[in-house]
Amino acid sequence: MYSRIHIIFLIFTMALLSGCVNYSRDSGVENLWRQPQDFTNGTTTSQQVLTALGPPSQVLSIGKNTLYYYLTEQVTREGLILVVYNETTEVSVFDRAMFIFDEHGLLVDFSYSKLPDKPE
Amino acid sequence: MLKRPSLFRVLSFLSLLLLTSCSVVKRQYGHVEKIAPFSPENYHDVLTQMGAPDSIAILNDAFIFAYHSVAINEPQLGLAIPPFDFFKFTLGSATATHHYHFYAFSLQGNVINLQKNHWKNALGESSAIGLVFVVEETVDLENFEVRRAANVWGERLLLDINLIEVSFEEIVLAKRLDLIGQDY
Repeated sequence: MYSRIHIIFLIFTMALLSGCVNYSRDSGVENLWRQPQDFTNGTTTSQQVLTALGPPSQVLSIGKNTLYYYLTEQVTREGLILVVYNETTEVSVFDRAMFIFDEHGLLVDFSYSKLPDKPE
Repeated sequence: MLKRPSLFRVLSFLSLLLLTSCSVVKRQYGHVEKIAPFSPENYHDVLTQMGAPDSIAILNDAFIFAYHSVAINEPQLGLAIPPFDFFKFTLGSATATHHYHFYAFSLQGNVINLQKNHWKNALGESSAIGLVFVVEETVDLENFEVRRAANVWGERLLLDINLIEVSFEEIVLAKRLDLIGQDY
């Protein structure tokens, strides 16, 4: 069985071991589309989008149209370690932008992903 | 005269002695916007309401937008291992909650089909031995930690055409849903 000193030492140590954990990492392209941009359907060209945002993550062909797909992955992890009760939450946000151009390279439509207000 | 302790009291005392911690591990992959039901006529309507999709697939006469999010909740119970003060035995189980929206369009951009679904599935139960001040994950979530397809698209184009598992054409044209955007 534990001695009284042993138990007091254990409780004292556990009380000291509480803490927080926090880290984040990004991968993919830089999400420059979240900065103020001036893209207009019918007038903006694919070259202007490339100049503003850089090379896309992926390029696709939809019929005669061309699609540029941009992706940034942002992962954050937060943790509360109280030894008796612990909680960690990791949230992966996939921030996306896509641009569709016609055969002349003019912007047909574009959209950004909807970002969560808070973790679900 | 001493009163004999009941079995319940003995078990409660032993449980208190053994119980070292409770932990909750939460993970969230992606986000699907919660919106009121709507009836899109073309992909422009979907982009306006839902934003850029997670995944895109292009078939011979159609293309598909998919939106998918997964929330994983893993409650754990930590039990003391009596001779080892700084180690615990952890029991855990995980549940995933999915939100999935699927929209198919003709190459002209008109809606052909749409579907949305919401479901839960158990990811299993497991156990681990670890330090008392470390939150160990007891359920294998490796499937959710793969690199996003869009971020490896360029690398895939550089693979030896004789060795790749999927055809070069499939990669370039995104003929499979898991070859663009994110895959789960």
